[in-house]
Amino acid sequence: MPNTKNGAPAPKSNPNLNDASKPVRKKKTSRTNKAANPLLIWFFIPVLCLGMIINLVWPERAYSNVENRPLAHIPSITSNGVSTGSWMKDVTTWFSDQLVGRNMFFHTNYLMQKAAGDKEIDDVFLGSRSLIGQPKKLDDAVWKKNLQGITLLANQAQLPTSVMIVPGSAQVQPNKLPANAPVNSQEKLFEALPGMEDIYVTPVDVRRILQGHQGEYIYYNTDHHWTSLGAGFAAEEFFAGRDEEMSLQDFNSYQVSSDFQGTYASKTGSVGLSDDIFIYTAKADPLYTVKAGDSLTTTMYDKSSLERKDQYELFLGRNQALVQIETTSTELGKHLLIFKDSYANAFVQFLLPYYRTITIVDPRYFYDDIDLILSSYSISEVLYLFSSDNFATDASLSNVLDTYENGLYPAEEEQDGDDSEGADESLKEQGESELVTP
Amino acid sequence: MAFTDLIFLFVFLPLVWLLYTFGFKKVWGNPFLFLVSLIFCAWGSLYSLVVLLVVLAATYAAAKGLDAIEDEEERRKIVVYTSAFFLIVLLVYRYLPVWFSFLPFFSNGVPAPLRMPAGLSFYLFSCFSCVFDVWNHRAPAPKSFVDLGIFAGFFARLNMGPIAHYAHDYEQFAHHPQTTLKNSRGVELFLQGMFMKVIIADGIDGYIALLAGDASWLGAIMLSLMYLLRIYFDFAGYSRMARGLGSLFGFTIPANFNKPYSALSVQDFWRRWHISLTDWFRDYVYIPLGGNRVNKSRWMLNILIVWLLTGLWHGATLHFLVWGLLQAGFILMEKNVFGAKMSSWPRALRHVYVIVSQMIAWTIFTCPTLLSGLGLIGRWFGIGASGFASPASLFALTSGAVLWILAIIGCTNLPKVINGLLRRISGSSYAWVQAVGYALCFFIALSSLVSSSSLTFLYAVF
Amino acid sequence: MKNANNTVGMTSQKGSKPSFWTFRHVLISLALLACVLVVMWMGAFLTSRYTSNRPFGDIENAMVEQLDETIYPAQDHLALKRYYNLDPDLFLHSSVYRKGDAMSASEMVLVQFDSPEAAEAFEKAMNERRDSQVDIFSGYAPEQGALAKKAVVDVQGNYALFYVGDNPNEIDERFLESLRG
Repeated sequence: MPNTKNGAPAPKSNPNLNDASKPVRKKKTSRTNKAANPLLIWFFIPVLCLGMIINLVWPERAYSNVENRPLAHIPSITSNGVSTGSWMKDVTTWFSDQLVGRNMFFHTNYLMQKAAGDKEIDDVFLGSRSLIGQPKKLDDAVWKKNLQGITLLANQAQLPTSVMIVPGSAQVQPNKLPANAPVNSQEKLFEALPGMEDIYVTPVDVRRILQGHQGEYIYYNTDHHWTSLGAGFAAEEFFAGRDEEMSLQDFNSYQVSSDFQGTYASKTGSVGLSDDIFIYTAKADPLYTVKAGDSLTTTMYDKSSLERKDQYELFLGRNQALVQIETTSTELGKHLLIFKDSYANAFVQFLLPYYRTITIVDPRYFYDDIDLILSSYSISEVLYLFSSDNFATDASLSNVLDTYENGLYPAEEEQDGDDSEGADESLKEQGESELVTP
Repeated sequence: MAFTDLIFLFVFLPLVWLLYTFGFKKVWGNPFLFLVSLIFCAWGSLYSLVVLLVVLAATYAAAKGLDAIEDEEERRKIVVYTSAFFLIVLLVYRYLPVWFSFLPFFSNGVPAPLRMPAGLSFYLFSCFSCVFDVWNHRAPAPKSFVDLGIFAGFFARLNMGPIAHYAHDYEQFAHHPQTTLKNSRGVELFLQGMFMKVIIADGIDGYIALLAGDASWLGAIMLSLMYLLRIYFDFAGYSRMARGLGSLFGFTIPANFNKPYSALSVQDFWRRWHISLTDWFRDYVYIPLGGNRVNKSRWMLNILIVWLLTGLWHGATLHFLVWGLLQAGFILMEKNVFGAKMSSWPRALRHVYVIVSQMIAWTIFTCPTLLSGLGLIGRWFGIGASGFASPASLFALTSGAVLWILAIIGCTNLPKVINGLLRRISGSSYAWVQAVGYALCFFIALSSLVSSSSLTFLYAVF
Repeated sequence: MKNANNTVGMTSQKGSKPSFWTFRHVLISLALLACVLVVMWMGAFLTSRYTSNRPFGDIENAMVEQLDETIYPAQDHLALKRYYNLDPDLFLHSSVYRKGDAMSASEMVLVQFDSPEAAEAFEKAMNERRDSQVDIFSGYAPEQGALAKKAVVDVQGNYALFYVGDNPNEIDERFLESLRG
């Protein structure tokens, strides 16, 4: 190849460099630059060094209160991890998690974004005085299977069943949202509910009553749950049309906290927003016991949680698989079974005067067979109480319902979504199955 | 490791800079920097380190041979074999997993030894540059393996950094003193780049996710504009950080971007965008093919070939090739159809032409398939659009107002003008104003980094 | 054979010392480097996982055929979650075989999946399971602990097996054979 015109080597001051960057000439300052500013290097490097020393010296933390999650600890070295780079990735995450001052940066970022007019951080909308979560996108396969399971169980066990799916603040209090906030629609789910009605199943529509009270403090400003007041209105709706009507007038309310900062505060790092927590006790004040795991108490309120980050745990404590409440109520034969997510925790306080026992199952943590529950506690009524977000995306309910009498769902559902259902069938034919209830 | 990893900022960088500046610089400066760069590369995975060393070793052998051997035929053969070697490496890592992704072998993702090492396309082209320049006697072979390692694999350039041009850069290895000017310039460039990447590019990313499925006209226009802005701030930001890092160690890395969106024609655009890549294609493909010293039809073919290869460099799938040919189409149109008349167009028109043409190009480039890209462009003209504006697009417009303003200002000359104004106003205390300004910049970027999950650089897949 | 007068004259003025880099040596170097890469790439093939096109029922029958059902009774839907903290919905099909009591370490889990995340989750969960079982049994039932130590965690392209019991290698071989059909 002959030398081309460009073959002449670049002389000291390279013409190509002159095009786009500053030439490094000694005395002359070009149009774009300037004398050196030693302050820059004197601030930058020492700050990085200080950061390095502080971070390497500071002890490891296991948990972040602001973000409400465990923090990574130093990963162990494996040869596979090093050769594929996964150990290095874990170290990078570990260092980032353990960064000193992490919380301060988190809050600063929130203030910065808010000041810049940003109206959404990490799927949480920033309203003027509150945080509103973006509703989750519906997973059609999941919620349809959940609804199907509810109908099947109600008809097979022949128990009166109520279904209460609770919308989030974004759907009930749109005036709190920033203008034009693009909210995911969960209409399909709510529209399917009335169609469930049959002799055993009664859907309870709480949207209407909540929307009627949308100007009131029915959802927390910094958390995805409803307040006790919101739960109270839903309870009124639940009892409407029954023999015993319930009204909030039958309850006394007490404020137990004014500095609750919930899940949305954790997600966004918000500053200056907090919530009040009220509890409602019936004027009739029935006595009751609460059995959860090994503990037996006489109150459903866990006061110690007010000292911790997640003060919503005040209601029924940390998430449990099974909680049993026995009351001194004179309502004979009223034994309620509730399948729930955490939304029901604030709801239960309104049920205490009306049931003899209340059995509460959280399908996310429940691994046993529901046959046992249905028979052991003489269940007379079932309630499904879920937030629309959980109901539409979490399949644990259908998994738990499927344990009813070795399989609730019909066997023709032999496709991908159905796991050991098919295996159970083929094993039964081989006469090998022996279901053991632990 | 990425420049925005906290472990890079607070462990790797200060440690390396201090050890170099106050220790190794006098003796074993380059070997130290090379070792540190190898560690940086190995942080991705040990396999990527092996690939880097193999490529460097091949380059070294070829370059040394080209220097020592006098027989032109043998020299030509060395270049051919080395080029084939490089191209096979590129093929296996870049194109095989994409073109053969349907094979059951890849059903669980790409196995670790075959995952593409970060920066392969970049440092491989730097190595090509070395081989070609030594072959053409434009520069001598690197004196040592370490020198070559610094040239092609210095950690500042490794992941996404400007492609190095051997004939222009080789003199820096022997002599790259640190000066106060270079140090302060380095900090400036690094923090500017960090702001561009972390605040602007990552901010735009959030809105792109929001408008991804939007079918309104406003949503479509905004999405394309956001593609245009994001890729600039992401890539130019990273290149600026790379230049800043190089400057901190005494290296002068030429700019990779020069206000590309102020270009007045697509040809002009490509003299301002990813300059190191276009220089590479010009010097090592276009000119050897004859450039514009051939007859017209051959010249047009040359342009098409160069742009086809440029598209291929960016990605293995069809829409990248179409993107490359699109750019070629614009350029040919300017040369043949508009010709000299373009210079008499009003400047505003020329600016709009460049922006619109690149909106089309970046939409094709960014959308995962050609069809979805064309669909998005169709919605600009109302084809398939669901309405004028949707709540999501209005939300993105208002909620991100500060971001759009920052982004648009960042594409123009305005920052420099403001800087000049500040300098005049603050007089002798400008140094302090500047230091405080950059400190704020760093603090803001750090806050954003800590609170967001890491968003990878877009160009990092190259 | 001309050198442009601008190269730092290394080639012709090198003096009498002949360079190591002759044509032959350069080609040999390139060849050796190519071998290094090929060896590394071959490693990818050797460690890759086999994707089977047999249905879950067939594989399961093959595995369960010779298992003693008093030691390995089938468990229900939620067993995956209960014992291993794995979400059953991650997998296309799953079966768990183990006794309900805590005195036995013997267990077998077979899953079919179609995503790398499921494979990773399974591998991680089973490695953790094996480690925790070894710890638990080391105190009061050392023979069970020994069984747990030899547990097989075999993750292939779309099937994975976890087995604790006698003859783990045989069972693993049978698993691989049944995948190939």
